[in-house]
Amino acid sequence: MNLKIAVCVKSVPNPDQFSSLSLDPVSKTLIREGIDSVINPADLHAIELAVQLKEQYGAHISLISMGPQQAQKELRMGLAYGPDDAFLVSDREFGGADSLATSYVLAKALEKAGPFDLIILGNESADGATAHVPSQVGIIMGLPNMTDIVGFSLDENGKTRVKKRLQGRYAIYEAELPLVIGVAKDINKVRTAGMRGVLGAKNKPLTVWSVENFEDLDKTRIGLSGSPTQGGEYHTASFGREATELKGSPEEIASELSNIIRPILGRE
Amino acid sequence: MICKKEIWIYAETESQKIAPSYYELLGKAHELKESLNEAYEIVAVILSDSAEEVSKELRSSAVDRVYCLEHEKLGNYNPEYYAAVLSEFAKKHKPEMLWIAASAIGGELAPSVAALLNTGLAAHCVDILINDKGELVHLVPAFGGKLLTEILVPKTRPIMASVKPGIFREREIACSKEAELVFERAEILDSMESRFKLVEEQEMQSSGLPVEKAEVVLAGGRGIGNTQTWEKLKELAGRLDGAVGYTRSLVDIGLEENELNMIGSSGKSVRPKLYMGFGISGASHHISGIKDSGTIIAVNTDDEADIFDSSDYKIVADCDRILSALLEVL
Repeated sequence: MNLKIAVCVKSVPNPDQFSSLSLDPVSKTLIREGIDSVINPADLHAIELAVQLKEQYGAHISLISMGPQQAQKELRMGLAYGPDDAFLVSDREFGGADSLATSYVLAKALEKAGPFDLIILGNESADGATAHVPSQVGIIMGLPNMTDIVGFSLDENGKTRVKKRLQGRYAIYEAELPLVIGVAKDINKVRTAGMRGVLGAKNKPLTVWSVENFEDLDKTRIGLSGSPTQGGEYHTASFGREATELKGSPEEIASELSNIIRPILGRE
Repeated sequence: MICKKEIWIYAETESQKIAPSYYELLGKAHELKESLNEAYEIVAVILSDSAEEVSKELRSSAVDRVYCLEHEKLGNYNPEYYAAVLSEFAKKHKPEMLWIAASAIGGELAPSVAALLNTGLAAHCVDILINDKGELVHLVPAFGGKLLTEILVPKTRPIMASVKPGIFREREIACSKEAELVFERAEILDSMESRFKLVEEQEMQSSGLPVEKAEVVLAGGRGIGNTQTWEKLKELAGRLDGAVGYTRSLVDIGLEENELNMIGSSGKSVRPKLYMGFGISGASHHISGIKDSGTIIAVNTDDEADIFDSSDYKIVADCDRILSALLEVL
């Protein structure tokens, strides 16, 4: 079995640095100076799953991304984990896309680079975190799709079992390829890329496509103008409380806390 | 007769009962209805293999109408069947708004239906309101809840919104009349065969009380560091009849197996009377899941930890030592 697997990846501002994001008080635009870009953390688990399947069955893995030219850096990094090639869809006309317009362009890129047996996405991005894209890519492509996947296996006949997280339980479904899945971070542990992977990634093919490279693109469905949702102003999320600091030895603090906690619990 | 515009609420069921998230959405729908200039009807929509029982509960829940879409294939959740039925029905009746709780099921159903209807979906709203220009605005978290952004859906209909369970509060609504019940067979499924076949369900292993239902929540983050400290926190939670929650770090470092009781914008929202956070830095996605708690107590070795900006009591100290001392007195 030689599978063709696509993994969709997104370049996002480093989630560890979200606390340094701020708003310009006048223009209300986002100030993201000094914040680096990384591969969306959930997407690393999508890559890991693809690489594991490649080790098991043999596969050709393509990374697919929509984003600015700079996202080539994240794609190179992604290639270091073992995928074979990468495609970046990048054009000003794609900018400002919401989840549906993003999914449309990803679907078109997947058709153009494909066909694929299996399309894997991180369940959600760290920045927007809508968790819409895996389902919406699947719907637009007319492929069976499922999100919040915490387990995946494949047999020699191309039959898959997917384990989906539901409220307090897991549901296990059987499905045939081709398939689109959104994977949760619990699905696996991501390996480290290693120096050999990083060096090897430099020579792997990375193709950049702009709007002109697509023949049948419906321009009413791309970018800001093709997005059914429109973003308004940003607001600073304020959960403001004024904290009283408790000081002293652990015993003193514990005794003070006990006095605070007992009335809340209705205990003497 | 001119049809009134409709706000649809998808009524999710949990083991043949209406999920609490339905009442949370319903409360917000009534609040919004009061600020709208024209008359709206609030409509509950249920998908089931047999809706008779639950429809009785919905009938007196202060809605104008209850649509019960039935088919034997709707017994267990199947993403393809559910999305097909709800989107087809929305195409036929053209609601102005369609709200779905972003539960495990709704979080997948909502974007699928939005894609099938080619319409806009505001994800994980923390508020839905009319702004001073008279536009319908959704406030949604961005960048892990660090910021909120406004989402508008100016052109396409229905305007879809998803809301995490526990974000809106239930409110008392007087039910003046019983709703009209409309039963309809979801015929579209007669000729449809899903590509997903449910083969098995497994209970999720949980160490105790679900966090979202507890009056006391003790939560741990990266600063917990080791098993001994984590066990102490669990013991203290037991003594306070509380539940144990955690941030993603605890899953990452292997102290917890799954995300079941993970608190935050990608996990659960909690609203206990008492929340105590140990070794939690207070990344905004965690804070957005605890902000409505009664009293918030935070313990962290870092004097500058963000969680202190959202706490009522601040303790700069080692978690293990505070937990040990608390176990002596509580």
